[in-house]
Amino acid sequence: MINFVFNKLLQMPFNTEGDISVLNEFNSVIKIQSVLFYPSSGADINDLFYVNSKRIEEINECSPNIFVHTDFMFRRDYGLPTFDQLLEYPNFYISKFKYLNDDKSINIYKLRRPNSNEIKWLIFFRGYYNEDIIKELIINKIKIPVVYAICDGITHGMGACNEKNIPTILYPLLASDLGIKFIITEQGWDTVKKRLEDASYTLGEDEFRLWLKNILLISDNLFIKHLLNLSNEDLRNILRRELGAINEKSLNEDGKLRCYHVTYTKEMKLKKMNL
Amino acid sequence: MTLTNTFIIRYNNLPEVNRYYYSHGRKKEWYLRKENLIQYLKSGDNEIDFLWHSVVFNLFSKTLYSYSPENYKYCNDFIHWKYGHHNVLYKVYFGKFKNFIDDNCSTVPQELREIFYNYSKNKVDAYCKYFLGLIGLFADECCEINCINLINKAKESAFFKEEFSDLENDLSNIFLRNLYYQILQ
Repeated sequence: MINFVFNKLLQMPFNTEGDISVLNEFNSVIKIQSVLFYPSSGADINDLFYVNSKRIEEINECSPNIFVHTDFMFRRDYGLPTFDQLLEYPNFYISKFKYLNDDKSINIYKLRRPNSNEIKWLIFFRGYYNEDIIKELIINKIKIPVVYAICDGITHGMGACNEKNIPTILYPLLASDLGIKFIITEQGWDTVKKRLEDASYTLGEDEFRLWLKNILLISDNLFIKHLLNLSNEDLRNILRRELGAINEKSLNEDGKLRCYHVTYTKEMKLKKMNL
Repeated sequence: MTLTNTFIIRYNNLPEVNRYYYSHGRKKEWYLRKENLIQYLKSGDNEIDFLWHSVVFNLFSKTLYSYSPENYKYCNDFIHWKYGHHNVLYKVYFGKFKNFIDDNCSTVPQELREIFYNYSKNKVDAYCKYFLGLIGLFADECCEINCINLINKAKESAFFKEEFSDLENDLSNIFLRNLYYQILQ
């Protein structure tokens, strides 16, 4: 059996299909090339086209070659176009390998753009929670310098099908665990600040406290432990200070289209972590 | 400005043909019935310009899709972002460039046909410039398109050549020759 880097996610019977050399090659590149993580990605593959240093100069050497997508709610019979067909447009040359069963699949794609020798990798975890994948990334010491988090389905949009979820607005707290340097998101500081100002409760507990506890389930993070010893008010105050200090800029306000999303192009921000 | 919001709205509103094809919603086709075409031609020079701009815009979309697919998405996204209209490049003419310019436009009454032919022949140069201007606009604004490389690549393809008539007095043929000439310049 191939020692797939995400073997722990294959606890149930899976069929395989495709080119085994794609899996072998993926295993060798995942730990050495720059990675982007897109939680709750759905059918969106805009990151493949827009997140690079030509478009977004700031990300520079973090320009990703490997795109890790995950979506719990993406059904196998999602309809047309299928995920594979999405990638055929506009004309990627594709080789692929898949683990699949009725509930989940892990699709690995090796992609080459037309008129280019540039290779990109995409791994799509269908039927897995974002947090399952983050945990595996941490265990495998795979760094994700760029997070692309548009409409995470937790604090923005539909979804939230996991009681143990971690909204992407709190991913800056995972920056040291995951080596996050940039986050591209439609949820800027204004959104986060408002959320911090609204006292809301989930399962009878302050929602931020609950989310921090969820972080502890995947990361032994001392700062989170410290926060959880504080009152709800102090906890929110510190989050306000920490998250508010993150350098943030709008991506598409200078008349150039640097990053595109069918719905949230105007709101897109680039957050630079203060590591 | 080569591309205007008014043009995009009118282009988007051109009547569509429904036929089954394997495109997953990524292609829409427009077509003008003879009576619609006559209405346009009767409405004066501006409407003839609009028809030409539409069929040239269609040619731009097809050329990009076939010979610069890496930029097709960028241009389509850019139009959505800048003008607010989604997937405009998906819409192309039902047939080939020559089918519209040479064939369809010759089915109209003699008098209109002559008006269309003579007016168009005098303005072919401007229509070629419009085509090149579209490439220039997107090259400036959203992606790296090399106009000369794109046309040279298209020129080598039988698929591209089939868009145009072989008869040298046909307007599509005149357009193509003028386009090559402008590229050389």
